Amino acid sequence: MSASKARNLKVDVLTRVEGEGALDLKIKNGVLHDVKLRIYEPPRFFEALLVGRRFDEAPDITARVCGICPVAYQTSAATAMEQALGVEVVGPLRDLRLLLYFGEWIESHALHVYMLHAPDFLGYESGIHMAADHAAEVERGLALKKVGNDLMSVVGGREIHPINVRVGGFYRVPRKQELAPLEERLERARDAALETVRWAGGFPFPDFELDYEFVALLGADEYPLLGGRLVSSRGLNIPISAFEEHFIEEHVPHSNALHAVLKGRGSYAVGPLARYSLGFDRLTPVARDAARAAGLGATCSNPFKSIVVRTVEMVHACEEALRLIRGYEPPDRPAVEIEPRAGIGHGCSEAPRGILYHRYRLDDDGLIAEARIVPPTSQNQKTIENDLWHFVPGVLDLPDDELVRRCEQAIRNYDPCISCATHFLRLKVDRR
Amino acid sequence: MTTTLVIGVGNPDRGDDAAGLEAARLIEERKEPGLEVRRFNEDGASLIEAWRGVDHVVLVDAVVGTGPPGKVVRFDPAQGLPFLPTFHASSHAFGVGQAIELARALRWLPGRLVVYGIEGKSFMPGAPLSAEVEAGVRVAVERVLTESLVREASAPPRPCAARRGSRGGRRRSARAPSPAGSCRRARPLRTP
Repeated sequence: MSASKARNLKVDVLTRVEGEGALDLKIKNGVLHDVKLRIYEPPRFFEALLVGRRFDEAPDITARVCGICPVAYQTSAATAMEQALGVEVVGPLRDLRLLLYFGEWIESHALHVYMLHAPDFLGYESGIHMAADHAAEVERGLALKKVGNDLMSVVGGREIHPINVRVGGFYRVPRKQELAPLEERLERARDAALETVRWAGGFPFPDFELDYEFVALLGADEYPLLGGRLVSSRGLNIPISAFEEHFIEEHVPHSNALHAVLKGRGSYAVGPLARYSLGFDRLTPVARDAARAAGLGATCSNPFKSIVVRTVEMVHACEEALRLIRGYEPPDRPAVEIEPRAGIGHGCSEAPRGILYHRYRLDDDGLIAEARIVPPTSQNQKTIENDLWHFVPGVLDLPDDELVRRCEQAIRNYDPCISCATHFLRLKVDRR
Repeated sequence: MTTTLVIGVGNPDRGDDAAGLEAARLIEERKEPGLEVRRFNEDGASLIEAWRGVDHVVLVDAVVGTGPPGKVVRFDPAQGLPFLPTFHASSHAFGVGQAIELARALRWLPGRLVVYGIEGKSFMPGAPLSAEVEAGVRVAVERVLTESLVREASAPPRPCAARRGSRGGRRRSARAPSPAGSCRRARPLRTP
C-alpha cells in the first residue's frame, strides 16, 4: 500500500460492543485526517418518558435502558430519589445494594473479558472461535459470569432486570440461608478471578499511554462504587449534586449520543482505569497483590490494560461479596419509609463502564417533572476518539483489515455500551 | 428413566416470540413421564448451562425467514445450523445460535439436541400470539411429544458430531455458512 494513497476506512457495524455504532477513519497521504465514532442507534427518549411517572417507578423503568447494567440504573435512580425525598439508605440495606452491584460487576466484567475482549489479544474472531482452542479459560469465564448472575438472582429476584430494588431499599430481603450457599461458590470465583488476572496479565499489550483526566466516585474508605464525591486525577473534588455545574454534554453531528466534557477542560475518562488509578489503595489486599503481580502499578494509563484492571476488579468484587455475605444479618425491614413530596435529587454510582449520573425533579405528589441521565459511554466517547487520534498514526501502515481490527480492539478497551449511550460498530477507513 | 429436557425459549412480552414458551407450557400440561420442561427467558450463555450434562434436549423457539407464519421447522444442530449465527454482530447478549456454537466449541452440546422453530408473524411488545402461531405451537407440541416419546421407548442416544469432530479453533478465517436444509436427513416422525 502506498503511503500517498488516500484511505477511507469505514467499520459500518462495530462488533462485540453493546448497541449499534460505527467508526470512520480518513487517511490522506499517510496522515490521519479524521476520526469519528458514530453512534447511530436511535435515541430512546427515556428521560422524556419518565416525566409524569411516579418517583418509585424510576428504578424499574431506567433499568430497561440496559440488559447488562440494570443494577447500575436501579441504584443511581433509587439513590437520586432518596435524596429528593430526604431519606438515606445505610447499614445492612446499603450492604445488600453493594452485594447486588458486585454481582453485576462480576457478570459484566466476566462477559467482556472472556467473550468480547480477550479474542482481540489472542487473535480470534470471536469468543466462540476462541473457545475451541481455549476451552478451559472460556469455561472459567462462564463459571464466573454464572456466579455473578446467581448473586443478582438471589438478591435482585432475577439476573436480567432485577425486580427487587425499590426506592428506600428492597421489596424483600434475602434470608441468611439463601445467601449462605453463595459463600463457597464465591470463594471458587475469587480463585478463578485470580487465575484470570494472571491470564490477562500475560497478554501482549501495545506500548501506549495517554495522560487522562480520570473521574471516579470516591467515598470515605471504599473502592469506587456507590456514593461519595466525584474526584478527578487533576484535582476535581465535588459533591454529586454539583455534577452539572462541571460536566456538560454536547451534541455532535456524527453521533446520536451526547459527548460529555469537563467544562473548560475537555475530555475525561470514566470506568475501570479511572477507578483503579484513583482508588488503588482501597482495593482488597489480595486484589492489590494480584494487580502488582500482573505488572500493574498503582495507576494505569494504558487503555489496553483495562482488561487486566477488570480482572482485578473481579477479584475485589468476589472478596467484598464474600465479606458482605459472611457478615450478613437480615435488616429489620426491607426498606425505609418514604413519603412523596417535591424535591430534587442527584444519584451516581459506578456502572461496570464508569459513573452513571441521574437527576430527578419531583412535584408535590412525587411525580417526575424532569429527569436527566448521563451514562458512562457518552462520557467516554470523546476519550475513545482521542485514543484513536493517538493510536492510529502508529499503526497506519497496517493493511486495512488489520488496522480495522486494532481500532476495534482500542474501542473495546472501554467496553462501550452504545445502547446506554443513545443508546455495534461499523468502521470506515478512507485513505486518499 | 432417561429424561428428555424440553426447553421453550422466548420473551413472554414480545408477541410471537413467546411461541417457544407457550409450546413448553402445553407440553408441561401433558405431564408425560420422562419429559422435563423448562421455560427459558434468559441469555444464551445461561442456556448452555441449562442443558449441560443432559443427554437429550429439544429446544423450541420462534424463528423468522423459514416460510409462512406458524410453519414448524426442525433443525438438527449436529448437522450444522441452517443459519449462520451472527458472531460479528454479537453484543453482550447471546442468542440461541451463538449458544449452540459456543456449546459445540466447548463440547457442551447435549448428546442429542433438536431444535423446533415456529415461524413468527409479529413481535410487537405486549402483543398476544397471532392465530397462525398459536396453531403452529399446537403442531410443534405434537411433533415434540411424538419424537421424544417414541425415542424414549426405543433407541439409545448417539454421539453428536461435536464430540466426534475436530476442535480446531478458527483464527480469523472466513467459514462457509452451514448448509441450509441439512436437517432433512434427520426428518422427524410424522406430524399428527
